[in-house]
Amino acid sequence: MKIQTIFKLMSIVFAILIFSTSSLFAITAKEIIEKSEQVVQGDTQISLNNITIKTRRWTRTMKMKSHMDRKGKKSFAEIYEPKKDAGNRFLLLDKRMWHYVPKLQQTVKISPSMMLQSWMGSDFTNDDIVKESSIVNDYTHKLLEDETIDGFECHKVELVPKPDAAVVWGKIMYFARRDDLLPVRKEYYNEHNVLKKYMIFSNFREMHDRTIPTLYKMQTVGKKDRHTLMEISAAKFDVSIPDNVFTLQNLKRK
Amino acid sequence: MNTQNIISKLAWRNVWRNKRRTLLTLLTIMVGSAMIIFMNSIAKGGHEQMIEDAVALNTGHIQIHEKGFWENQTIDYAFQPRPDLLKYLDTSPHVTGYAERVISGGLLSFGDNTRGVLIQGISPGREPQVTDLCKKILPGGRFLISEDAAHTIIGKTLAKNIGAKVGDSIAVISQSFDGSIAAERFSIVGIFESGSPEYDREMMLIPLSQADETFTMMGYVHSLLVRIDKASNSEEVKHDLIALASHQKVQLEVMGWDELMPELIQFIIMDDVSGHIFIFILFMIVAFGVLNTIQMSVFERTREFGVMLSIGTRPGQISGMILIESVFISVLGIMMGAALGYCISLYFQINPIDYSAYADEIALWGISTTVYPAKITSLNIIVTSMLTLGLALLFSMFPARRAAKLNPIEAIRKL
Repeated sequence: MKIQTIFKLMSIVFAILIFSTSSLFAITAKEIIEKSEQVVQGDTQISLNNITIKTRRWTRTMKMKSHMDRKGKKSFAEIYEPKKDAGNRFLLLDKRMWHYVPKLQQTVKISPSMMLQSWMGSDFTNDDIVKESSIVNDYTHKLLEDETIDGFECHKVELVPKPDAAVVWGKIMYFARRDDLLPVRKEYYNEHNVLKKYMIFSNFREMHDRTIPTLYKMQTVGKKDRHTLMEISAAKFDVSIPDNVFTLQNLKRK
Repeated sequence: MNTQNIISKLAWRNVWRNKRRTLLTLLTIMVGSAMIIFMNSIAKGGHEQMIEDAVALNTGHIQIHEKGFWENQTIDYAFQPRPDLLKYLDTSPHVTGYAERVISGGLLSFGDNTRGVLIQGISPGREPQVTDLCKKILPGGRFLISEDAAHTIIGKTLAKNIGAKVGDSIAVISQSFDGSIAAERFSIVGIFESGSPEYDREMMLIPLSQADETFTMMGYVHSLLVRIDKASNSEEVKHDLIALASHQKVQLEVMGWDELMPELIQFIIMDDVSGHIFIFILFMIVAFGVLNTIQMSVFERTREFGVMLSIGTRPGQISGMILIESVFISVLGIMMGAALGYCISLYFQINPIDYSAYADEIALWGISTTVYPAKITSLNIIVTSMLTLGLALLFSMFPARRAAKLNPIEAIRKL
């Protein structure tokens, strides 16, 4: 009896040992995504972005300043240019989003069902802008064969939404550079496994205390004559942002 | 008297020898073909009414857009109608009205409620020539008028969902034609109930001039709706418009109602399939009814045919006689059937079937038609009558051939 128990115990310890050593050497899919997000977004982030929307008729650039607290799931963004759109502000607290319209001097609540609608006519969704859903927590992660993208050797991670997550994508393919885990490409597939849009990350540059991709291009599949570019012109990471930034009062301030 | 005449005369007498059987056969053919005529008219009338209602509700017979609008449904597919296009629409005898529209999606906010809406900028003066929306305003409100600016009428379900009523002010945010943020506050002057659940749930109408300003359209429109005097003339007008559109600076798409409402066409096709199956069954009942009675009468007269064959009547003359009997009965039957079918259809053309009590159930199919009139066409009556006649004759061939093949000696001994 005793010997059997010891055997059992030993085999459990052995199993744990194998499991832990393997994770010591190889990085898991979830860690790749976590670290990648951590580098690109930090715990908090203040950034200046130029968003260029190109459609078949016109090209427009908006300047936007955004504050983000990733851990607290809070974000705040304001448009500064062009003049016509200046003063439009967006606030996200957990799963609730508001849009302040200066022309009407009114706040419009964006319901969760509208998170996946186009943001201001761009190829981004509201969700892409305020990052309500989390690719770390709302998805399960699976590491696939490495691939070379734009000359970088990349980890390829397949993200499948958890059953209870409020996500419309059937899956997301995430390509992160092997060396520093920075994202290079992100592909969005629908539930029928058809590629709907993809984001290309480029212009890897030093920004504040780290290197990040500073140009994001979102391309909707099948709409060759349009795309949306987001360029980060300045960014600060892990700085403390006062709590009163993420409030309805700040959204409505004159 | 030649043999032809004798045969015909014999056939005519034979027809009336067994009056009850002949009457039964007549009745089968008459009721059968009358039913088929009625079925066809009710289907035809119902379908035309559905199309007419859908066209009148919000679609028009023909729509002109910049090429790509229908597929993409985004605000940046818009055009400026050229004078030659408008001149054609003004002068064509078949065009009873046309109206320009600005169309955009947006967010409607009222109190704590936000909803996605379909915003249509319509011309208050021209719209009533093209659609019936102006007749669907609920009491207590009104349709848009030319003097309106930041005024709107919204769907009944939408009003209920956000808890707004006439006199309330709603905020709308959307995207402009030039890419900037469009925002405007509108006061509700009316609430409409179109009968289409989709429109009632998500549509709001604003004056075209206001839409031009709010969405920075600079005179561009998304759609030009054309109403034709008769649906059957729409192909001709569409053809002319396509020719005109090819001379425009931008590429345009000219779409007929059948392309604009593919779901309705699908529904009609499905409905037609089940209708055709039913009509096929009716035809078969008539055909076998005729086969049965003719077969019986041939069977009964085996001995008589034996005698006729013995005294030198040729087999061809025997089968000819039976076919002529069948022609007599069938022609009489289809004439009476056509008359009866016409009368029933006429009754339902004047007194349409009214399904208003089931409007909600019908609406689930996306159909707003509740009153279904019959529609009689001469084609329907002619085709039905000819098919009945043809089938009756075809099915009389079998007993006729059987009689012609009789062996005279054996036949005389029968019965």
